[in-house]
Amino acid sequence: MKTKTFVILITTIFVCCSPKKELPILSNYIDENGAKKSYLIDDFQFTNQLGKSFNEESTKNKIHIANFFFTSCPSICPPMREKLIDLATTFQKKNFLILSFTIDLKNDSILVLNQYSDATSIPKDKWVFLKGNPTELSKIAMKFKTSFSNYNNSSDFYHSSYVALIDTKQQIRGFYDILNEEAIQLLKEDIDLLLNE
Amino acid sequence: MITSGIVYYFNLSNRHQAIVKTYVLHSLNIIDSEWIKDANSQNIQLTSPTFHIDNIYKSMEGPKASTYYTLDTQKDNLHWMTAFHIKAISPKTNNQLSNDFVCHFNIDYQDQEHHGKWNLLERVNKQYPRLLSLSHGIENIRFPKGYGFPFFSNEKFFITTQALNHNIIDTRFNVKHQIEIEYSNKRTLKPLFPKTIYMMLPFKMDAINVPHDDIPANSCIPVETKNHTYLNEKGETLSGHWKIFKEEKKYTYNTTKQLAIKDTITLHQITPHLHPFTKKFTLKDITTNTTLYTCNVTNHKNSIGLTSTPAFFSEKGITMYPTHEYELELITNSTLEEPQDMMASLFLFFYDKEMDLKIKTYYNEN
Repeated sequence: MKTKTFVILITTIFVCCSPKKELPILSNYIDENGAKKSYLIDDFQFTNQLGKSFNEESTKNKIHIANFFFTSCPSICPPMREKLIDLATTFQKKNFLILSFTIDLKNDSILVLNQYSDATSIPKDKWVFLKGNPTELSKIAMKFKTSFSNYNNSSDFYHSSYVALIDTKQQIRGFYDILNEEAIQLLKEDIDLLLNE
Repeated sequence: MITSGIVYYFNLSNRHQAIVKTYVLHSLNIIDSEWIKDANSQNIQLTSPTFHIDNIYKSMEGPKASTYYTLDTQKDNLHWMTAFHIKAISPKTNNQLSNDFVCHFNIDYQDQEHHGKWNLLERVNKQYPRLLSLSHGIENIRFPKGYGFPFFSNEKFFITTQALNHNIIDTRFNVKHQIEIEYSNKRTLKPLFPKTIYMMLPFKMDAINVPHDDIPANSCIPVETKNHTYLNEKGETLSGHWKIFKEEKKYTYNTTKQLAIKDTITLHQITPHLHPFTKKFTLKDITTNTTLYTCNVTNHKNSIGLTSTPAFFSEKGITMYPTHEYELELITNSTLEEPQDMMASLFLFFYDKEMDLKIKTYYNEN
């Protein structure tokens, strides 16, 4: 009994005194006057794969990750899709969702996005595929600190394999290259951390 | 099941066997699997997990480990990386071992964090975000006086280190890698922008098993065709990793497009990344027919390995122009009967004028 109490006491002390990992807040930048500016992901207007409006109210108090993609992407999107399915499955029962913004506004209709969504077998309220107008897309890409461009006028685009992690307060807490196994492991740990915050 | 696993394992390449072996040894805690990370006001020190050396491991084949590193997630202060070091050490005594057990150490920044912080979003997705690679033959570099790579304390870096063993076959032993990054808080430093250029040689997919004498000049037989294979604008296949044979050979590659110089810029530091049996690696301005940098390589005399691959440093810098053409020239001289793997890269550091203006404004404000 004494031993058990001692072990519980030592464990409690260890847990309480261990430095807790905290994620930095990355939704900020240095403006043209050299001042640090913070912002929230709290102003956007898109349409989801079901044709319904999706905006900042839809992500309020929800931990989520966001990425940019297009359904006919021949290069990095197929392996990214597999990793995102794994993440969606792992956190399906938690306060967590995935947002995927299409960058091919010409070919990715709402119907195409919905078919793409069907093929993932992930519930549509857990992995949301979004389409907006060029201005909204450019605005949200800036907020997520990314850019994309057409690849030699072909059907491919230069875009990133990174996802951004956003907390319940709509702040960016990390960027992760989901084609890298170590990054996925870290992302899972950081999602867990935010879920327990 | 077990028999299939054993058969599968022994059919793997040396590189993949090392991955499996390292995973098992680390997972079962047979050898130390943890990174040790430490920092003071001037130095970041990372000690790798233990690597078990039980075989010949050529470049890119040995046990490796990766980790993320952030100096301080809760602070947002600007610092400057100024020097990088790697050495092999004994896990038991921490004494330094031969650097023949260091293949390379890579440090990658995170595009969105690094450029996004300065609102330089047009730089995101433009190049692989590698800051530097220190490799066998060059285990220490320091930027020229007055220059550094700017980073914030809450910025994340991805670090990978890989072991090497070209020569020892009759014993098993363990090594760790100790990485040191020196950093400064001086507000007078100027920022450097990294860019990697590398040799690529054409090859034909249907001619990778032909005798090497039948390969046209300045082309290659690739080590493999899955990774490090690129397409040029003509649709030709090129490889960044190829086989060299027992002979002296010269290769050239026009690197103008890789450089993608938009404005006149100055080059202040070059760190080469080469394999054994390289004799000389040169960067040339072929518009003016001038040599900008020559790396005269010293190979080990009685074993396989690189004794020295000297880097380039200059406070004044070399001016490079958007209208000029640039070429890499590599001379190799293998003394072995069996083919050897070759690659050749240069990690270049240019003065970053745009970032300098932003940092000056930032320092005035903060």
